[in-house]
Amino acid sequence: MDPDNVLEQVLTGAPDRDRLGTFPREAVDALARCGAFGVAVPAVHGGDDGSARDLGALAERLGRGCTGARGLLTVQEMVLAALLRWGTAEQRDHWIPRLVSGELVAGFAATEPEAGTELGAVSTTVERDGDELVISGRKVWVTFGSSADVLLVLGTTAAGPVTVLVEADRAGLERVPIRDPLGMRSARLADLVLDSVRVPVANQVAPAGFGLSHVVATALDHGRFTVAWGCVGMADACLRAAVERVAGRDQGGVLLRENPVVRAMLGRAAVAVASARALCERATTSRDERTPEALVATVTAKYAAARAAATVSGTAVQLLGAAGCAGDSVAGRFFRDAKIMQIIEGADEVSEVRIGDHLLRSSARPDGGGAL
Amino acid sequence: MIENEKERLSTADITSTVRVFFSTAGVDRAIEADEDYFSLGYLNSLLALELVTYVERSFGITVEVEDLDLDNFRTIARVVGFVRRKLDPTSGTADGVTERQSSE
Ligand SMILES: Cc1cc2nc3c(=O)[nH]c(=O)nc-3n(C[C@H](O)[C@H](O)[C@H](O)COP(=O)(O)OP(=O)(O)OC[C@H]3O[C@@H](n4cnc5c(N)ncnc54)[C@H](O)[C@@H]3O)c2cc1C
Repeated sequence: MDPDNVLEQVLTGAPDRDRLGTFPREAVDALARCGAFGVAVPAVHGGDDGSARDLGALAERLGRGCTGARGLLTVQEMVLAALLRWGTAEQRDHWIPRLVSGELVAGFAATEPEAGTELGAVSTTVERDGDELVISGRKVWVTFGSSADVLLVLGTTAAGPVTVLVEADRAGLERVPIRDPLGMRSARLADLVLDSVRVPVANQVAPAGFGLSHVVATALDHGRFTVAWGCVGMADACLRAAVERVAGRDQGGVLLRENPVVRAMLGRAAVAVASARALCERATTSRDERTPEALVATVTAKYAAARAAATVSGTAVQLLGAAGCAGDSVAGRFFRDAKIMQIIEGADEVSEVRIGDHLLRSSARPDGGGAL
Repeated sequence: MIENEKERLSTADITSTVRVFFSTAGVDRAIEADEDYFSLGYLNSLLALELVTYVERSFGITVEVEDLDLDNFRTIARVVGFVRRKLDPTSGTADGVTERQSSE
């Protein structure tokens, strides 16, 4: 079957996966067959050598249909990006083709009960013992943590933060699935307990001291990018659902579309979607041109897009009325998912502070700085 | 084009380009070339990665995992020395030289 149809078919399963809190292996395999995980990976590693634009387009498409699928793309892409950027030649050769082919699903395990926004506070320990690293600690809220084959774990050493790839079948690793989360219900969320888990030293990614500032930062930057485009997809899907409902709603000759308040709601929602899209486009260009401003442009895009997804899904549920509250409502599902987008990969307020920081730094530049 | 640029760049050119980054790094005063800005807490995680991209883009080099050594990034002078070595691997241990020149 043509990859386009395969992808559509996977997305069609979104409501069921959300209801059951599952994401079957067949759906992962189908996404892999469509080339979803290799879009922006160089051809030498088995990828499609695509641009940020190609990756953004895919994230938008998945986001429009299934937050779980978009979440899978995001975590797979985060770990791929970290390895492409900071893996050794051997690590890239070993891991990247397997992640691209979907043979392995990756998870990203940074957050701990006492360290969310402040990842510098993680307390998971990584200690060297001969040719092995011994890892102990707790990780929470790992997207696809229930089913991932390998996890990029952020820990701490005497020499500073470090990242280590931990295969999920290593002894001492326990996964505790998270039941009934607010949203992202098909994303196989799990908490992890690592009790003296041993991995070869070859699994360490980048030297100790650079795990947070470089490896996790690279992963989060890529995560923000696919989350941002996914949110544009979600927001746009909600806008369309709202327009369709408003256009057709007729209660004994009282037409919803003739109400100016309702039209204004659609107008505001449309501007929110278009603005988010424009900021995502700008971040995309910046990433394809590899400018240093790409980082803050991506923070800005993710912030705007998550807010657009949250407000527009809220508007859509409102305009759909009870139909928006039904179990099978797309707007209702995205309303739950969108709230989470304002918390993960940098909560709204954290992004605002970063953008403000950037403005002040730019104004200190000899040339007066560029635009935001 | 980049090749020519690489040959032309003097330590002073590299230093002034690197300084532009630090003049914008949220620092409330000029950092001296030999000051350890890492231990001063001047480089948050977003900035550390921005510095990598900035250096790569300004000088047409690639920072590899093998280059992730605090000794390459600890001070402005060390960043300059690192860039020099990347641009011209045959320049050997130009470190001492750059350090002296840029702290003048
Ligand atoms: C569905 C879901 C999936 C997730 N997937 C992953 C995953 O795959 N891997 C992973 O490692 N983590 C994951 N997380 C965790 C997520 O990254 C954290 O929830 C997030 O970083 C926020 O951390 P926290 O929950 O500890 O909130 P806190 O850090 O306690 O923050 C709570 C709130 O306080 C405010 N706040 C916090 N700090 C600041 C600040 N400096 N300035 C202003 N306001 C602030 C914000 O409003 C923030 O929302 C996931 C979470 C969810 C809900």
